[in-house]
Amino acid sequence: MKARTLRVLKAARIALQTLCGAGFLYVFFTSRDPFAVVQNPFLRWDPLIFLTNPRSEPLLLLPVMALLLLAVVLGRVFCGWVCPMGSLIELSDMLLSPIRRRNPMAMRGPRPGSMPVRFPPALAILGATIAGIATNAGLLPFLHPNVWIVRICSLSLLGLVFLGLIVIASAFGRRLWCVYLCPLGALYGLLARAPFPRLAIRRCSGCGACDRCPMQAANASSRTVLAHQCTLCFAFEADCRVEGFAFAAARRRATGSGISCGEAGFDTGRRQFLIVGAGLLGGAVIGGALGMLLGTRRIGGAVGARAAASPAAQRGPLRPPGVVDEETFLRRCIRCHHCVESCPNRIIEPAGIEDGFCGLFAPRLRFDSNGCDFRCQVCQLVCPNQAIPLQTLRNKQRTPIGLAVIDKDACVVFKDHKPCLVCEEVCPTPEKAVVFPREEKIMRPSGPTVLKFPSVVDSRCIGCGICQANCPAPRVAITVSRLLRDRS
Amino acid sequence: MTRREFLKSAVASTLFFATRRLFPASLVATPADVGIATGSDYEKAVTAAVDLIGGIRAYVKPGHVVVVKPNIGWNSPPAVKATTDPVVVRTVVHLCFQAGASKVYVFDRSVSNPHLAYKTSGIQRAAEEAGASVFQVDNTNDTKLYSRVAIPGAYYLQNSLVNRYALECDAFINVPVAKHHGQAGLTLALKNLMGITGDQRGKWHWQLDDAIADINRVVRSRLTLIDASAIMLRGGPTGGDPSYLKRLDTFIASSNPVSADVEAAKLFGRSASDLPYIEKAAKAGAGKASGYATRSIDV
Repeated sequence: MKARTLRVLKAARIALQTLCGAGFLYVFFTSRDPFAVVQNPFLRWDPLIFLTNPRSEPLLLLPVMALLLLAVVLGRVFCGWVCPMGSLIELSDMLLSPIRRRNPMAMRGPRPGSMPVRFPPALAILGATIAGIATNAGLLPFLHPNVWIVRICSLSLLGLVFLGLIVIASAFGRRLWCVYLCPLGALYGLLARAPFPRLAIRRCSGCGACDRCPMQAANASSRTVLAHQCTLCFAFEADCRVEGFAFAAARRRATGSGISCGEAGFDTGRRQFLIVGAGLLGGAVIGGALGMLLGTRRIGGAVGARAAASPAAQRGPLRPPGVVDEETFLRRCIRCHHCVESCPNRIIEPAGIEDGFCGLFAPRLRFDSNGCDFRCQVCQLVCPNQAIPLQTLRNKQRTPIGLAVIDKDACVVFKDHKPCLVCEEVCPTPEKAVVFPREEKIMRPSGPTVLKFPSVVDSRCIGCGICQANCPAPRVAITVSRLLRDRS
Repeated sequence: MTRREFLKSAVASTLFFATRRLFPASLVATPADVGIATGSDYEKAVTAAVDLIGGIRAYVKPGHVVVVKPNIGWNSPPAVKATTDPVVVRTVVHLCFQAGASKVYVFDRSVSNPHLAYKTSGIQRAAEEAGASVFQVDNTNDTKLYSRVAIPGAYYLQNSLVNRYALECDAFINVPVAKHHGQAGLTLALKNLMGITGDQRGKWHWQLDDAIADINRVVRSRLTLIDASAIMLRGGPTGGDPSYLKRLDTFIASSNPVSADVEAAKLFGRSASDLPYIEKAAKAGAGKASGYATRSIDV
């Protein structure tokens, strides 16, 4: 290809990356507006995230299939042209290039004679991720690039730590995450197969320009472009002295004579196929074992249907509105924290280690300063894969998050005989869930006062926590606990 | 009739009709303390109610900085009637500007998230379209927004954080919505003033009637307009069920919140003696609980 064409392609790639990055930021910040209904397409349409909650909506299936098809035809073009995490890493690589140049530990392209990354560990990570989805281990939340970029944008501690790791990695080599670790990239790479033409080296003067490939997909000594690594980023191809790059159909190296060499990914022989398969399988075994060991069944104790019977489950975390089955929720939730970011009342927070590994970073509710607004569904709307199910407003207003319980030792009406019914006042259900079955007239210095003793009607309470957040007693006297009960 | 007499009467009647034209009808008739207007055109009805008590120009003078304080307590749409009807707020803001107000502020301290409540209630949009400045009250620790006021002779609240816009404005206009309230009985004009305070209001509920009366000592409502277009008979103050509402298309304007509350309570079939805070506020000098003049009109 002509150097000029390659330069145009490179400029187009950078333009699209910028556009996608800006689009991602736009989506991220718009999703924080409770009156804008925005779902993050980078998460919603992602094939790996789709696996956590496969649905047959055409508007979802079409983009997912399109992304997979794109990978089959053009390889990892998503990684080079679209992926916001890839763009961020590239930016970080660019900014740290002076440090990298001085760093004796840095990788400066494959050394002569060494091979490009033929079998990245990302393959095993992909295997482990998919096996994790199948066994509820939830490795995906910790390995998916698009999830991490959301966390970075939200400037949470977790995201900033990851950002720090990216920056540190940039001091050692370019796109290290994408080359070695990214499961999504591995998936797209795996799909990049013949018979579609791939970028290949047709002529070579041995100038070494291709040693600068950020994805370690090409190098001068082997004269190959690995299709499972190449993101078609055209970072250096224009510098090739003999304009040796071209799109060519896959050919075995043995069939080429002399210098000509176009190689297409994994399908170049049985040995490679076996190694790739072994990598995936090995990862899957590790991921599956982790899933069995750390999955919800083991650590979470009784969840879901069994929760009602178990007192331990009552102490379990409160989940965002609409979540009924804890196990399903934890399997689907990718911990992107879009709900945490978007909740206008700021009551959703990511869990730490307190809920065990299976609940790590999963969103849980805290009603200290506010409750779940009766007419708000923002978390359901932003959730990219309906781990928080999207309900009709009517159903949302009827699905219990938990159940409010009055502590008579703390309530000022029971304890101090002070008239107080804030919990009733703020209760948002049309038929109030806090009622006063007992009234008593008492004498106070200011005159006779009617004391009304509050009580919660279990069948009406949806556990929104507004009463808990507004309780004026010195020690909060009404608290919501996770008590999933039969409701006819 | 002599020629002289004829000329005299002609000049007199001309002058009479000319002055009638020059001054609004409200100034010619003696203004009442409470004006009650009924009509399905809320804009007309609100204006008529205010005209019955002397017209807006009796309360807002040219150049005044006005605070219009509706009820924006909850994140609920206008149909629920847990918040003041946006049309009513818009009309009152319009009236203020007609009277020459230099600035009109609209705010409330919501119980729900103010970002949600202001928008869902439709009040933010309605007030801004009418030209008012609308602001949300998020941070009650903001010393620029609140100052602590001592309340001499208070029943209960010795001092309170009070919104400085309410304290420092030239005219404070109270625009509540009439509805049921579990503890206070009804929440009307006097109770609506809770929205200008900045403290942790929860504890006041232990002595709510006293607190309501006390806060009405601090800020006097120059004009009160109660939105009783559809009163919430039970399930308040949040409501949420259409069956709780009784449509009345009524608006009560008054020069003092106490008389307005007494009249509004009558719509619920309740008297001032049912609501201790009315009597307490009357004793505190917030207005007349009885012996006031009422006029009504159907438009």
